[in-house]
Amino acid sequence: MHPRLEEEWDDIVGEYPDARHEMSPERVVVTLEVALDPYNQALTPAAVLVPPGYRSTGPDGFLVPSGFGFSNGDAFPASDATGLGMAGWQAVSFHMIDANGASTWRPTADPRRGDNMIGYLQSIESFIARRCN
Amino acid sequence: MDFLGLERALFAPAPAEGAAFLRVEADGSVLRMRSYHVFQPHELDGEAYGHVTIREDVQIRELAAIKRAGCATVEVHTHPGTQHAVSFSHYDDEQLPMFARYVQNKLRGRPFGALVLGESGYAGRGWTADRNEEPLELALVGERLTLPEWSVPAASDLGHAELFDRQIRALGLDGQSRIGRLNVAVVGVGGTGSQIVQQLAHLGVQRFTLIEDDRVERSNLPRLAGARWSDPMLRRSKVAVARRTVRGISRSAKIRSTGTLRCTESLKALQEVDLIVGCVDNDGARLILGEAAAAYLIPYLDLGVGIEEQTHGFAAQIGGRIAFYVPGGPCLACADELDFDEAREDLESEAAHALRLERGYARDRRIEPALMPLNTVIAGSGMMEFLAYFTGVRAVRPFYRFDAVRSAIVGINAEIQADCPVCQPAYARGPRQQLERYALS
Repeated sequence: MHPRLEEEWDDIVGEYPDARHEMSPERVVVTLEVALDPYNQALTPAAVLVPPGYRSTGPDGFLVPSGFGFSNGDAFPASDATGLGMAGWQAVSFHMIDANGASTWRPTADPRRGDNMIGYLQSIESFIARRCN
Repeated sequence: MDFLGLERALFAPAPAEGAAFLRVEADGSVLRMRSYHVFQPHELDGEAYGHVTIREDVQIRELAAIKRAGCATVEVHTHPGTQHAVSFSHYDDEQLPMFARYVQNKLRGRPFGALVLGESGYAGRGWTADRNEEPLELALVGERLTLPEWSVPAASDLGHAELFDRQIRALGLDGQSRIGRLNVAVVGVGGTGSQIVQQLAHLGVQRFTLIEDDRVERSNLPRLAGARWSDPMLRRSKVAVARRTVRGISRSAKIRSTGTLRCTESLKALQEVDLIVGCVDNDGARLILGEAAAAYLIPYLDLGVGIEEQTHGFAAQIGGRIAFYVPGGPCLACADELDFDEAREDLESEAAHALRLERGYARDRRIEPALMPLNTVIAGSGMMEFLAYFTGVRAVRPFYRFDAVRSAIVGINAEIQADCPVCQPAYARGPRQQLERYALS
């Protein structure tokens, strides 16, 4: 496991009890509860790829299984993730940036004092709750 | 801590043995010395059969103080007169396991180490917190490399006194011999790195680890030191040019080349060098080198040049940066000289980059302007810091910029940031830092 992720793992599992760590590519997979309206599923797995420079460099985007989307058939802001080594998944366009396009990721040595995986997963939940806006 | 001071105090009673307890901070398999106590004659029981023995009440007092400080300890004693193949004596071999048990009963759950210092080397044994025995290796780090006196060869060992006569007059024999014993990694042997390799070879470095996978292109000829007009035609690698440069200066130099930085061989090779010189053009590579340097306590000299392009026929800004990370000091990220966004893009996979490009979030990577004289100034300045660190010719100036438009040196205030996400979590972690995660192959 990535050494910086290892430092956070107990906290991640405390917050997301079903969190799994998988390799090739290295990722954290959790199950998120989503509203049936506007989505076509009440629960979805979500995967965050762990960049090699983590925590100095934050994650970018996340992945959900290919079948996940809006229940009314609207286009879902995602692309096929086969090229990322995640066949059967789609990469959702989600970036932690400010209005000027600059990253808002603020890493620290102590994961509890700066941005971390739990905060990123919570941002994803919030993004999904906002209908991916 | 001053290792030379410890060594001097330990050898002061020679030919009698000297002894000390080092107070160390344990971090996994790494024991970092924080302070030491050299036992004075009145704290010793005298020499029984030539072996130094620390009085029991003194041992108890010192171990209690170490326990209160939350530290572990390393016992050090000397074997004066031992020149080569320093080893523990039969007496040490018999007594040490018992002494280790005794200390680890006093300092429960903490590792223990033992070192014997000779006049030309050392031997070490360690016991982990769960009391497994393993070798103990000594590494010295600090503001200036304070190699023990026994690591400096005599004049007769140098063999090149005449060749380096002018340098020895400037740097001293010790300084010159230290240079000759270094293994230096040069990462990136383009405009700046090719000059670094050339200068290191002239200075007398004999072991090179060259990390680069580019080939020479025609547009490199105006600034690639040692390049010939035929190199781009022959699709020669930049490493081949650097190797030719070194060979032209020193036939005995050993040169290892490992290809791209992001392969297992390069990442492993970095762990074995005495200095990393980074001459790279991206912050992703700088992040990897910064982590490697902190994890393995290797000094890291980063050299960068930059020219801001202008449309009116001249450049608005021409300059460069010299940044020298000394283990335990501030790193590039502490100095706010590392762009994590850029590093993320540099390190992401091609597929991830393509995806971000498609969505309009990837940065445009321009071809940067370049001028060989700027590379020369920065390479020369960097090599002065190299000499400062390894020979002590002056104090190291770790962070500064050269403004070529104003012909000015501008200092960069850099202090260790306790929350730095690069050097702090990686510090002295060695293999636990898992640098191989950066390998693409």
